[in-house]
Amino acid sequence: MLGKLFKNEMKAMGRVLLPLYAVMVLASCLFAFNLRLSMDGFAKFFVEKFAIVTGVLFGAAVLVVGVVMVIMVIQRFYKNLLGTEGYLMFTLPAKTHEHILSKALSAFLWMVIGAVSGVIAGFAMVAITSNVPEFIRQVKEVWATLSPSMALAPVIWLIIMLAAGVMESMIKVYAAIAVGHQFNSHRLAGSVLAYLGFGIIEMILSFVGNKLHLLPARLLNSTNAAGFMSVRSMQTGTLMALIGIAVYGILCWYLLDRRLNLE
Amino acid sequence: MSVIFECRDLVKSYGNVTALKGISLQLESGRIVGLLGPNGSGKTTLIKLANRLLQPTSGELRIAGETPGVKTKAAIAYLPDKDFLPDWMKTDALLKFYGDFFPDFDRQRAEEMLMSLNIPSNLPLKKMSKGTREKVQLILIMSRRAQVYLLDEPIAGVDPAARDYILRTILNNYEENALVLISTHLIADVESVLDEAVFLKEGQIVLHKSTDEIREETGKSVDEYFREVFRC
Repeated sequence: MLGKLFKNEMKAMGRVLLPLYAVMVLASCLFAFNLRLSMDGFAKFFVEKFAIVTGVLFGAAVLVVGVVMVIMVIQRFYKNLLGTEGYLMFTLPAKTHEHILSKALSAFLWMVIGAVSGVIAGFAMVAITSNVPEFIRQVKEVWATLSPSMALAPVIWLIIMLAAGVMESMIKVYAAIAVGHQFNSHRLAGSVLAYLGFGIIEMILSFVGNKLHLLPARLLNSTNAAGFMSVRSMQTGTLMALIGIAVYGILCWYLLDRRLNLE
Repeated sequence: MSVIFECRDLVKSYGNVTALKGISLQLESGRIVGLLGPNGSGKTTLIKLANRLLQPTSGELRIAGETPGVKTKAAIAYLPDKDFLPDWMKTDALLKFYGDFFPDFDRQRAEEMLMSLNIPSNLPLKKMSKGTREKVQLILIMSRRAQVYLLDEPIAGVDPAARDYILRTILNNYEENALVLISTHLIADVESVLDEAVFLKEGQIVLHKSTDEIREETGKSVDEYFREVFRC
């Protein structure tokens, strides 16, 4: 059932996000193309004006993608599970954790696709505005300079920590919405309060943890001599995020499975 | 016929308000049962409990011997009393969705019903009229070969012609060995199709009899007797 729910969720989010990502990449190409023409001195006045317009379009597309992504994470969970569509979703022969997982995984995958689209847009801009063979040569040069000195482990741990952090943030939002849904009225306000409450509890726990030295100082040491985050601190960050996923995930599951109150 | 729907001392409270006050009920498969009562009598609450959309405060409810869960959801075809389908979905996408999630969904039957109403397969729900949307919902539900059909106010808020279509669709498509539970307060319209009637008043069952028994014992139609019982 998880696979079917995931496929359905990917489709539901994709119908909004895919066109937006396409607009973002297209806007970056248009912007870069105009910059290139402007640099080449071609019909300078019009091209420069058009470059400003496409630049604003590109900036707006990036902003809209970010905002819509956040809205989609909240809206897909709230409307699809706890709104009237919940009468369909919660009567499917699926388990509660499958609903939560399908939402979180598909939102995460669409974020990754969004990040990849952003990278493609960036590369497209650089490739168009500069000489392409020269650009490739420069990339190879930078990579050749960096790769021998750059250890792979910090990069991998950074990616893992970011992924776990993003997932934790989403599950935390889901749990806050599920808490808000326990109220008989003002459920949205309840969800916001729950989210703020989670933040306060996290701060208190972190403060108490620091005071009681529950974590060795070396684990909390966030930077090394070179000024980069150490692998150990990123591992700690990942562990914290995983604990958050577990705690908020269980809370969300409990409220949706044992305390569901669909109106 | 075996008991397929059973609840015992079922209580559901919302804060200080008790919607169901310890009801006990047994319904057999192969019957069309009317769950009859005025607004606020607890009909929707009982149906939601059977679908596990609510949790009982106390008591027990079983569908085909199972407490509500994944297994019972696969056995129940539920029509809520509101628009519950994503309005951006087109009818062919909805047919695929139902086919994916419910192994008992008969796509061919659904397509035939949609075709008979000239509902195009590429039209999203949000572009349909309210009446057409309700018909699409009903068609999807009645195209399942389910063990239990729970229909919450299927004829409320629709014109008389649509009511006839809805009742005809239910009668022509339900599985003969299934239980059909129709919740409504519009008794006159459904009376002719009911085998049994359950009167629900202020969260309690005040009557559960076959419709023939009600007519014989009271000398009145179910609708007339309902009006007498629930007179304000």
